Amino acid sequence: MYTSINACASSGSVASCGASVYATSLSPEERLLALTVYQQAAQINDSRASIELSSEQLQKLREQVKESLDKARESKKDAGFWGDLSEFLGSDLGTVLIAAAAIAAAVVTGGAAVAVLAVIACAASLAASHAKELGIPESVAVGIAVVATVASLCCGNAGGLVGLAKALQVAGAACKVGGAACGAASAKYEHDAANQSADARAAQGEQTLTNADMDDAFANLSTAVDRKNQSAAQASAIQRQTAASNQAILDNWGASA
Amino acid sequence: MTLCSIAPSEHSFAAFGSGEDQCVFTSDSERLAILVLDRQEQQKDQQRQELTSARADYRDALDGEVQALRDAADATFRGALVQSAIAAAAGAASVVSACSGGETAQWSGATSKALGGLAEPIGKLAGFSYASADAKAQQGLQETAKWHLEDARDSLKDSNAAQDKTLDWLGSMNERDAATTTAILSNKV
Repeated sequence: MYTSINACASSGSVASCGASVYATSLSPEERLLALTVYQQAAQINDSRASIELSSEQLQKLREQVKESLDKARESKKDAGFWGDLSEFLGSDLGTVLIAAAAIAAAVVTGGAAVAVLAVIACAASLAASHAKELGIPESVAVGIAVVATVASLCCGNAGGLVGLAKALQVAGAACKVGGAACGAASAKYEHDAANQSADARAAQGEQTLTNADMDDAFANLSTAVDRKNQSAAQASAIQRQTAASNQAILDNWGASA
Repeated sequence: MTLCSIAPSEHSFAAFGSGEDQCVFTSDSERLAILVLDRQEQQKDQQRQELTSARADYRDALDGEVQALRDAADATFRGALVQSAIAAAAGAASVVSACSGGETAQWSGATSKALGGLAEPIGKLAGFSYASADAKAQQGLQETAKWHLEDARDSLKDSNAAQDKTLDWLGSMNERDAATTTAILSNKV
């Protein structure tokens, strides 16, 4: 009995196992235990299949997360490049060109006091904002800018600067437009990166669920194995007890005779 | 003794604990054990349903969070596009101002300045959304669903442990009965 139940459980052929339980002449308790073993064997098979499936799914999800994160990183890199370009064109270069255009215009107009002050203020502001990047004290940067601006105002050639001022202004405006376009490109890549991160998050969430499924399958497997062993041991005990009872009856008969 | 009436697919403690199949278990304590097993099995069914429900809640919250993240990305993109468009328009107005003279230069210059100043705030306004907050809220729901999952799983474990104990008890009762029978039979006449 014990051997047949164990063979039944380990064979994996649940259908034939169930049929054999009905076919043999076992006691009700033994049949109950055999059915328990049969059911637990089926559950073990199911749990194993579930674990294998979850494992494959986990592998796929891991690859998906990695792929999404890689893509997001690439998009971030591109976004950073276009963002820097946008910053350079729209802010730095554009401001410098417009400031230079203003200098030229101020010289052309004869250096009217207000215009001169405006140019100096613009240069000082620009220098202050870039002092940190240049690694020099802000006051030094402002001083250099003021001196350079005053010198350029004093030494400028008024006649030739008319066209230059316009050209610089147009170039500055074009840089601003270019900066805006680069900003849009940067935003596009940022958008892609955010979407890729969302994909990665979705895959991570799926991983959590698959892990939970796997945990459940392991728990089911463990319970099924325990129950199967318990039932098999119980069946074995019943067999022993039956044998002992039969022996006692026989002994009694022997004594009576 | 009609155990044979139980089909393998219906093999459960509940099936043994009711109707004709109770005939397998004759003593009161065995019937009590079966009732306990039956009760635990019912609880396990309920806990499995809770597990399924918590799993569905988690999935909903996850989908909600991912959607909210996408919405937030869309909103940010929209804002950046609007800002860039306005900044480009400001640049174009500046070009017009530089290339033309008189009144046109004046109004296009003013327009350029105005647009340049408005680009950022209008972009922020266009890109404003509560999607990030929604994503956080959905994360909270996910955590709640996870707790429910854990609770249901713990309850299932408890029920399994209770069933194991009951089965042990049933086994020990069987052994005791068998020992008694053997002792009676061993008494020689």
